Amino acid sequence: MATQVPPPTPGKRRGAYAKTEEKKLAILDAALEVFSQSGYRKGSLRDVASRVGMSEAGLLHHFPNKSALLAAVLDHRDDHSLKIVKLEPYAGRETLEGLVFLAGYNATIPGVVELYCVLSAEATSPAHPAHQYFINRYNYIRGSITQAFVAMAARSELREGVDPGSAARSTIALMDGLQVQWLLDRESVDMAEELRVYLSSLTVEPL
Amino acid sequence: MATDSRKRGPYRKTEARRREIIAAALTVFSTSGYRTGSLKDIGALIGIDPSTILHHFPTKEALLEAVLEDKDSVDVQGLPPLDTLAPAEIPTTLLALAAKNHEVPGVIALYAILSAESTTAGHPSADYFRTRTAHTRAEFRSAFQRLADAGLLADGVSVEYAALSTFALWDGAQIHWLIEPEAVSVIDTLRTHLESITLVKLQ
Repeated sequence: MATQVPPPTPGKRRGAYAKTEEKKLAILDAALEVFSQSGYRKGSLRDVASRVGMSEAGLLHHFPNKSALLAAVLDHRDDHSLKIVKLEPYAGRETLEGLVFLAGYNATIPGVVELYCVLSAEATSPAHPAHQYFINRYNYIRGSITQAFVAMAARSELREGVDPGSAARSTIALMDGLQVQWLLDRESVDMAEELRVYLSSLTVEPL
Repeated sequence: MATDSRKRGPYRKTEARRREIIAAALTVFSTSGYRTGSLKDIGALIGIDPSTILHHFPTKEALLEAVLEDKDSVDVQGLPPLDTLAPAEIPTTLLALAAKNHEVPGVIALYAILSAESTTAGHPSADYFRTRTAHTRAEFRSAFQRLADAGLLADGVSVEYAALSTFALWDGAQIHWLIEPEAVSVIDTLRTHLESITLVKLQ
């Protein structure tokens, strides 16, 4: 799922700074791969570093520790999801269609879904490095999806009695719950289809 | 330093120690997960050496198994016997279980973290959670089938969808609640859902 406000689009940059940014992006891509394949705990910084031809010390120059790297990976991943789902204010129905599309897309990247599921469960502990990240993320997603439902309600596109805030909470809960179910049994769970049926139960016109 | 209390001490004492270790393991596994939660952390909670834990449980895996089979957790996680209820009582009973779970966030966290962790390769409780999930899904399916037979499912709602969506929504809401207890009510989320997929009026 998507989250977080996208950073301002980087302008044209020159020199050392641009190079540093490029290097950072390469590290993030490599880290996502490593964490997705081996999990956050098992995936090592050395693995990540060697994929981009750096030493571990070189990597630590860009990210002070593993949990900082993890936070950056999650933000980076969210930027990617944001390209799939329109979360700008009042997008309405398009937001819901984007969520269904995203659920289908997620089914093609089980490693990433697994990373996300395990992390969100681990992050229920306040001591976990990603705890605050997940709080912010839920707030942001919840807010955006609520706004989409509010916009739809204003256009009479929601069924009677559907409360935008509670519909948003349920949508997120369902998406996350479906991910665990799907990871445990990929044959019998179609995340996009279940989500589509659910969202259609809220809207006047089925998705 | 290995203590030898197991041989000398009365059985009762051993049993009390076992329970103490299981409770500490639950606390550690439910916050750090199984892989990171160490015997050292568990021992530290109750002031014993990791080697003492291994007197009572041969391996960390055996300890995890004991935690999962512990009566306190089993009581909380198991669905009540839905097939003995009148169909109209099923939604209320599910809500009552959610309310009961609300009292034991530690156990809920344990299941949330372990079931997520168990989806990763080589996890010792992978089979346990796969079986448990299949079993729970089957129970939900048969419960909603009975609601359908009684004409109590909302228009256009299939038994399969009712079962899967309720199960997933519940799990997902629990994780969100654990992360941010003030922002999410599992009970309200579940109630709204059950009200929309069934024709049973809920409080």
